[in-house]
Amino acid sequence: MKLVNKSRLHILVFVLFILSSMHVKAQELYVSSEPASIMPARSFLIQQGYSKMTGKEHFDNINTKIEFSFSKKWMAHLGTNYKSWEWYTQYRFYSKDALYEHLRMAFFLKSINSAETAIYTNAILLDGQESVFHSGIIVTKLKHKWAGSLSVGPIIKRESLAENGAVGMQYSFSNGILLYPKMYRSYGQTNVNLYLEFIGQRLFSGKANYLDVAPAIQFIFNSQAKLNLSYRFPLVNNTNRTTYNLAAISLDYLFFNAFPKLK
Amino acid sequence: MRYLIIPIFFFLSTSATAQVQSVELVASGLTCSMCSKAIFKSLSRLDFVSEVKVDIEKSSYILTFKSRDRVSIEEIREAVYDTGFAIETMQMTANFPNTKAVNEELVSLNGYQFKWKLAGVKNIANPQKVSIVNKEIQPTAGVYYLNF
Repeated sequence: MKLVNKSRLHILVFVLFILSSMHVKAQELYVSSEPASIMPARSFLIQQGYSKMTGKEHFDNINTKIEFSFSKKWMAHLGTNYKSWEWYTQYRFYSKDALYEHLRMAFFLKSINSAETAIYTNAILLDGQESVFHSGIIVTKLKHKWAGSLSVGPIIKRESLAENGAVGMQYSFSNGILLYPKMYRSYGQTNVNLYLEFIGQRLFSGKANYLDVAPAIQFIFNSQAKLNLSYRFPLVNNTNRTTYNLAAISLDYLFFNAFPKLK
Repeated sequence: MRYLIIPIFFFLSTSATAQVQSVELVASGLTCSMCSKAIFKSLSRLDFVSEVKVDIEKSSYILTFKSRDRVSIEEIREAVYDTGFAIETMQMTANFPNTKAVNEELVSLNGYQFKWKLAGVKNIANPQKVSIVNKEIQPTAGVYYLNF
């Protein structure tokens, strides 16, 4: 097993541990994954991003995403990096709320449609370098200081060489906290959130697997616009991926009550 | 004389009709200001709401109304649940027609049927703050239960 960047993870876990022991609130507006929570009913989000993938090769991507919710339980997004496009839809089937806490569960379907193929890569690439189907279940727990989210589900490479294995399991584990402000006083306060997310993949046939970590910092302006900065890199990498580091920046804006309510 | 009659008339009219003056609710399931703003926007959008005062830290929202004749509990509830969150507590400040609250006694307020749910009899000090105690603020057989 090839372990990389372990010391960087130790630092991150230590920082997160120190921060979580302070007076903080949990946050689940994850940068590298989706929580089980749905955006407010009939709202609309537009996101513009730039990412740089590095490794043995490197690519630059410009990403655009629009996201909308049809109801409090059902949302969808369309995204493109101008080489591939994807659709995603998520349905929240369980929700239990209490003061400053909730437990939510959702099901999602995702399709990445690319003109390119990565048939000689023994991992399934979700960054637009090939066409992929992905579905799964998300469970998100928010409780005062801690917001954790788990997602797991099958992933299918749509064009592959059989020996490389076309079907696998994708999973993620995300954590988030509010760093600033200590006390909310107005919607105009800039919020700073810190995230630590783990993203992993294991193929059913063949031995390819990886576990990446993606720390992120997020600034929220006017409780409506988000600036996300993240850097994803592998902790364990038993694949022949040619790009495995991802630096990303994105800005998004949420429009509340963008659509009229259907009677 | 005219200056005397008007206040007397005003006093009689407010004490004789039962009306909701304001609603205070605490939303549950959130810790983020963006989530709080979603609820604030959703409540502010209701056509009968004149003002929403928010305490983000406590997730509490105080609603006042354009006219005390039109207040919809269902629409307030729906506005919060539509954002994906829930209501922990909902309180109303209202003028009641009676001076005493008796357990299981019916009260009519803004076209709604309420019933007191309390141990024995309590004195009402108008305007009185009361809590709706129905689970998830949904009426039980058309009736909201009140406590204070």
